[in-house]
Amino acid sequence: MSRPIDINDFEDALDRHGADSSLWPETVRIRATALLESSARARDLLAEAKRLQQALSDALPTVPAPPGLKTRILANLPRRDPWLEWLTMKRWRLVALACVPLALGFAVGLNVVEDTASWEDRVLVAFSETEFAEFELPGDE
Amino acid sequence: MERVRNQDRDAFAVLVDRHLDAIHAFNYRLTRNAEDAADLAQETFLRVWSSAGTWKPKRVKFATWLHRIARNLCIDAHRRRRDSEQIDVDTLCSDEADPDEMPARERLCAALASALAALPERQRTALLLCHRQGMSNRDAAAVLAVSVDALESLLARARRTLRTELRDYRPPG
Repeated sequence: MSRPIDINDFEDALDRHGADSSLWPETVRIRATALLESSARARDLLAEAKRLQQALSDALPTVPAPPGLKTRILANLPRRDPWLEWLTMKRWRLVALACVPLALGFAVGLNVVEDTASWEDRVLVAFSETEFAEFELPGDE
Repeated sequence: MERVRNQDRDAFAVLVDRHLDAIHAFNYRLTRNAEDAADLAQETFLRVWSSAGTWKPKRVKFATWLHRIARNLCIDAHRRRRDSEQIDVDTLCSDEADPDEMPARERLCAALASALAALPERQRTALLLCHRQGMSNRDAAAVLAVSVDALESLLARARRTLRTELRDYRPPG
């Protein structure tokens, strides 16, 4: 015979698991049964919990979905883009997609033939040509 | 569900058939408004259709995932309509009452409706999931994204509050 559960633990179990003792953990249920045999207070608490359960059932009636709701739902189904869905299904796929421009830029950068003349050199040459043009010596024609 | 992922509308119709009443009832109990409950049920299933690929069958049961979507949509709707929320006691009470018991029963129903409405959302949802949606504590915990222990604490607090509120409404005799 199991040792009965404490009345406070019994009340706690009622609050946690409800009045239907078949839903209680096995060990708690066995010890609660022992308490119920000996304690009028425990029996009162159980009756009160059952009353609450019944009152909840009365106050929260089963409400079937209105007729036509299913048709409305099916009529409003949007078309899905399977490719977009595949892409968004896993986060890494989105990250991978975001990395594509970066990888492309890197690849292009690697393949560009390096031009030895820097832009500073080009600018210097351009200005030098201008100066020569402005200060032509007489008789050069 | 595998067929729904592949945009099979017939399979989706079966899915809607199987779960619509439960989801509509859940929404109705959370929103306490028939029109909102229907709109939110529609939104829930459209979300399922468009996000079928995100459901992880190994991690969570379909019904749990579905209720989680429905709950999130109800919370969003509630936030949008917070100011205009009204508790309609009549819609919370069923019509099957014995006329002789009506006054006491109506009072009990009204008291319970007020007490339920006054509960914090998570406590109310926990109670609805376990009491009216027929979920185990483990599944209800998954809907609320909390541990089973935390779920049981929510249930305990909700039941304690309701019991205290209802002590004044003992049946005659």
